Amino acid sequence: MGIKLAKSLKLQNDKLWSLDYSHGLLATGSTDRKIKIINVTNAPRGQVSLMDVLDDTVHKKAIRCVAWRPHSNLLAAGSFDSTVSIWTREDDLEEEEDDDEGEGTTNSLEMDLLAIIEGHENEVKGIAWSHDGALLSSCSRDKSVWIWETDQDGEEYECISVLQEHSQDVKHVVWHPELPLLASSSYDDTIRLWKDYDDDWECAAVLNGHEGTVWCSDFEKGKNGESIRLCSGSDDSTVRVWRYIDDDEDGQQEWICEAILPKVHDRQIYSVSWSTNGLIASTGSDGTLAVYKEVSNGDDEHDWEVIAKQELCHGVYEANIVKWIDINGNMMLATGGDDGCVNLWNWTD
Amino acid sequence: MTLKFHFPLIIQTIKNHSTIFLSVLTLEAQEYHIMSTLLSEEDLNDFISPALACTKPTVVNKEPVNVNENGEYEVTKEPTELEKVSITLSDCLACSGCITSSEEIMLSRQSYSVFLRDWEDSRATKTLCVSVAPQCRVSMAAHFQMSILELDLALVRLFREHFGARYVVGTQMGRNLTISRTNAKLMELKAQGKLNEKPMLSAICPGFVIYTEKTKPGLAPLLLNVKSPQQITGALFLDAMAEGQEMYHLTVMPCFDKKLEASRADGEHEVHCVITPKELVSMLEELELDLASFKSQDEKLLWEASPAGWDPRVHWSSNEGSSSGGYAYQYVLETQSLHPGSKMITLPGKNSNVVEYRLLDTEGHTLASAAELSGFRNIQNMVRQLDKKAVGQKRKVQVLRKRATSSMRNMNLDSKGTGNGIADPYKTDYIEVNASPGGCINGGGLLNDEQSTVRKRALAQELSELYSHSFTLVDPVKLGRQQHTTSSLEYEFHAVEQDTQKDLVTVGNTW
Repeated sequence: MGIKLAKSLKLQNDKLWSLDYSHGLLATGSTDRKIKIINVTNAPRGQVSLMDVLDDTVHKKAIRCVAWRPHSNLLAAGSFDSTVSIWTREDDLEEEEDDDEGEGTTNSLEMDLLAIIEGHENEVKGIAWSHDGALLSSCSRDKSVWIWETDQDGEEYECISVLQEHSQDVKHVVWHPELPLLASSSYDDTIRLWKDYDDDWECAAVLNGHEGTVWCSDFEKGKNGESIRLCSGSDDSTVRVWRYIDDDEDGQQEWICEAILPKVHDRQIYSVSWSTNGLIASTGSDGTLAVYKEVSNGDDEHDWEVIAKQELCHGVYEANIVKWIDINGNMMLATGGDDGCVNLWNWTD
Repeated sequence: MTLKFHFPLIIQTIKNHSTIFLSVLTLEAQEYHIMSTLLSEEDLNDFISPALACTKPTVVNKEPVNVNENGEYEVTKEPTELEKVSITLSDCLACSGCITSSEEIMLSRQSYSVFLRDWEDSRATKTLCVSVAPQCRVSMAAHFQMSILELDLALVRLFREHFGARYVVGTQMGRNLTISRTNAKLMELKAQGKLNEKPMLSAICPGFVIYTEKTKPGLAPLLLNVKSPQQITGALFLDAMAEGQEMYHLTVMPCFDKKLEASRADGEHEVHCVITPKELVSMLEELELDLASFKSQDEKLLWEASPAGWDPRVHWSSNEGSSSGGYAYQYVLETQSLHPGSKMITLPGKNSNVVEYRLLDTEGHTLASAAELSGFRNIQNMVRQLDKKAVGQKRKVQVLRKRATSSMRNMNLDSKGTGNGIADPYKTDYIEVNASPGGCINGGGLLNDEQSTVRKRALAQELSELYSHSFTLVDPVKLGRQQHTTSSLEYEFHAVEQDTQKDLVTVGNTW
């Protein structure tokens, strides 16, 4: 059981803020305004290849976040220049639905700009696609969370909601993997949950408890909506697990903080990721990558344990993001840091 | 009044352990005492919130460089005291950013406490004129469990007997003028073919006007320049003043942005203080007054509280159309009256806060159309549609062949006149825009104490229903054409130059 470095890639000339994986491809975004696309199909064996570098004149400032659209080859990127760009693979426009396998045979691909979404007043901090790819959410230093609706092509975006309840900078947004439920994390130390009431999106719950900026959250996966849990990482150096209990009479969701994970970090936690098989990974300012597992403790009780820890995973630099990626059944961890590197880690249970 | 700020330097650590210096605006605490305690930040969510960065240039008065007769510099000490900078409400209205929040300044200048103090000072010399917007009357009638007439009479007695008001009126006279002027302008533009490209936008909602001026200056030319009933009512009051008589106009309005409208340089003399029903209720509590004790059956009071020539059956009435004033509907309605045989159809929008009225001739061609559109998300989509021009060129967006035309495109690109059953607001002649979702009847200043969003929404819906059958309806166009006023009924819009360098680092910013 443990973390072992499979590959370290010096990709960017400045801070690497964000990465996202889909269909064998890893996309990265950086302060150097470059978005890079890497084929990581053979990453478990230490082989990767650079597929494309996207036009770095499109955004005028740092790329803060990247996200692949589910069931398609569209990539969304959010920038400090207040816009979100949408990119597509030209060769795929002719294709029907893509299949899950078979990527990685080509050595290059070309992605073109498809759309620019304007609306935020200043830095876009986070973007996320809903599980069906129909909705895109973005959040910004302007304290708002926006929800955009798009069509199959992903070329036209219509704003269907602007959520302004956060009192500070919104750092991150994430959708539930199966349900139309959105979580946003903020500099106001809270997480807000949003859901669709009839015609408009409304705040369904506010999670209070963190004693500092909440940088990131992630939903538990593979529960088919039977139970809903969320983990979150904060400036207060803690990772918390929250559980949805029930709706009250006014349709507001009741949530509880179910657990505070064992303390690993001594500085800000910038990123958390909940794997499909129930493990939580966290990383942050101290450069430590930690993996936690929920273990049975008697009858109905569960505790979380730290089962692996990798210090200084980007040397002396801060680590900004961690994500579990499943490459043809191989569980890996991808981290990105201020050193401009993506590190790919093999995970063994 | 002017608030004073000073600019201490603070140090804030941001991610990556670097240190930067930030200027922080700090309100001097003693300036706050006039703010009514009732209003908290949450009450002020008037749906379009201000930008974070104050862009008012902070002019530092440097000591003149000391050059002596020999052309040598003389070294002097840096001034140790930082200059105090004063920021007035008009600075805020003229600015594209915003300080901690312009609402704080707005409140300090326009609140019931200010009214009570001002009125105490000027009671002996000025004539108090009070106007009440119809949405506020619906909200207060529901709150106090009175009929609209009972409420109107109670308000008349309250303001006359307790405050010594001379006039207490509804705002329909003002609205008649707003509507008739709006229609006249639209019809003229329509005849000149000037509405073919883009629709005109109503300037009735101050939230939207200020948003446009500050953040979408490109759209400012589309604002149809006719003042709102609030301002025109003030202008009509001015006309009703005798020689040497000085007016103090207090108005009760459904939303806080109306305070900003009253502070515009182009209408300042028309309205002196704006309060909302929320504040009115708090004021009554503070003064230990019970509105029910002012109930009356005597409708003569309504006449006694009206200026000469003002028929209370008119100024306390309303008209057909939306609960925000019915501007879109009234435009299409008047056009219809000029085209015998034409038919008006109502088209629902993509959500409940968009609706279009379309006038069709006997062959189904569109003669005129107008839309009601409200809420920030709809305003955003509208702005994106109408202000589209540059995006493509500026950004080199690849134009890619589509697999299929999406349904959304179909809707947006549908040409004028093909009645496909869905509202197409951007293709109409005129859009009645309101920042509050659902319009003025959902204003942030109305009495809606429900805690949950679901219940809040349900109450807003009830009020909207109530509004639609609470008033006798008049023909605002006919009446408006008969009314006259000596004042200008137009604003002076000021599209604020966008600061191209929007790289301001503001308080609370970390990566």
